[in-house]
Amino acid sequence: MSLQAFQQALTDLVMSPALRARVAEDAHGQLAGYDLSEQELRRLAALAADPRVRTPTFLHRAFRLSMLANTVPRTCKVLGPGGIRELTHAWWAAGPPRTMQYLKEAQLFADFARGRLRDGSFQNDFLEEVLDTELAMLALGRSGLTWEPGTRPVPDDLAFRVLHLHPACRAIAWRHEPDAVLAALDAGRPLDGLPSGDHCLLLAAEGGGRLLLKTFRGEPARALLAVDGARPGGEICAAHGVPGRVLAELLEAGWLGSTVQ
Amino acid sequence: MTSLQPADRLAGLPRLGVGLSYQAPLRGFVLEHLDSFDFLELIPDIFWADQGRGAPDRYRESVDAAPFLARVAASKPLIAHSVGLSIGSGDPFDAAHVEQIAAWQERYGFPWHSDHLSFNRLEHVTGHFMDTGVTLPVPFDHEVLDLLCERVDRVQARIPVPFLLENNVYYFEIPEQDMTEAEFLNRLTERTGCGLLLDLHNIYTNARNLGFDPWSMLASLDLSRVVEVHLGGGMEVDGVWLDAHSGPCPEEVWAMLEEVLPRAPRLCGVVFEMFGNYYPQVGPEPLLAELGRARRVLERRAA
Repeated sequence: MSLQAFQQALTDLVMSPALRARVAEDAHGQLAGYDLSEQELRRLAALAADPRVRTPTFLHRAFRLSMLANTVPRTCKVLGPGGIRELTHAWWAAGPPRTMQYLKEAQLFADFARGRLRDGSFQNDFLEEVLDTELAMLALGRSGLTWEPGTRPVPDDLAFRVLHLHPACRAIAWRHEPDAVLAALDAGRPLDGLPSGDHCLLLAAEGGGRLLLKTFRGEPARALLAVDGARPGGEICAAHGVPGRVLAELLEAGWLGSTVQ
Repeated sequence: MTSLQPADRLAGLPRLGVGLSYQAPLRGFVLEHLDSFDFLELIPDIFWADQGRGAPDRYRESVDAAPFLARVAASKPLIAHSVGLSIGSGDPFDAAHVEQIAAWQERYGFPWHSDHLSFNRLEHVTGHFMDTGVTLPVPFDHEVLDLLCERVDRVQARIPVPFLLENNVYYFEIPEQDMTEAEFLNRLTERTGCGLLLDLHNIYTNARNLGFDPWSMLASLDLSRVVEVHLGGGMEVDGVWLDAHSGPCPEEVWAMLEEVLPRAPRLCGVVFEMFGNYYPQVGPEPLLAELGRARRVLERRAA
């Protein structure tokens, strides 16, 4: 359908100033991939040269940026203006937005950012842990699930039971002290020189949109990050050097649950 | 031409008065200032996560939507103003979205519902669906009018309350169009019997940026199809007036409302729009002031 092709091309023009510049020079060549009538080609060529199209470009980008600023604000602070510009321009060039759902856009952005970190084309020591934490906060806040404090009985056959995190909890691996990083971000202080070290930040949904954040180090941290809902307690202890009593304490506190294999 | 001249679909609608456009940051305001508005207009799409066309369990509703909406609905009528239909898209008609709106209409008893005369969703050349986040204009052409009339008919056949389309804000004009915007809107409402959601700030913004006379456009419009009016404010950035919903209405928009009222016999609601992101900066006073002013204008006209 021609209208569909026209709208695809118009949308691409709105999203890409670079394409507008190319179309203004050579509309037929640049738009050859779209199934357009002659009138549609004339219209698009005129719009490519129309400076007023810059405004919807600005609004479109502001909208996409606002989805991130509203969902992962600390991640935006970690990136800083330069990092945001570099990463979002690469992200936007990779494809148009698929959704108006803020959380989904943030998740897709997170996948993109992790990929860039993994392949080494983008570097930031704090990005992954802060991004993972904010996404977990969002997911738990919308889950409707609740974790309640209290003491739980610990089964005798823990070594043979499959362990899982409480459904209202998420465990995030950190390579820095989470409390120090989050406090610095919230206060607008630089992150340089903050202590590093392996930690686990446990998030628990307490209901009503409230979240409990608790930092673990050492054996409990390794245990929380190792629990995967597939392996029994004994295997986790052996593979990660965690004493059985640590798993028992985490179960007793309600961070973990167990099922019979 | 697919549509027949319909009976008056807009007859007998309740005169609701002054409405507030809901945004999540306004939740506290809504609950604390229920007396400041007569009805709440909500964008239903913000209360669910649309997984996209063809996805199983496509509309995942937010867990806290129902309690909040039930609480407001206990004392105020709710109206749906969706952004999800993308009725002007060249893609196939999104019947699943209409089904979702129909389910919510049944649940909350919206006396009417509306969407935007534009497109924002379509399949990208890369093969996946996209949402621009910006309502882009459709050409005011006969071919597009035929497409829209057929789609409006389908919406009206499925949902048993009147459907309104909102005149779009646009920052550029598509060249070589068959009709003016006013002609296009007049023909669309005449052929389908749908209502018009007249956004006066959109007209103000378009006229200011594109250099046409808003009064002339208003004079050309058939205002007898107007069921709802939107008011809002904006801001100037780099010489362009943005439909930013960032604060009070410009005085010209209030003057346009005065012009519209005597010519809009089916008008049932005047809604003030402000983006929630601005609320923490400006607080409740500007909202209360604009809602109060809209109420006084309506009361003076009624008297």
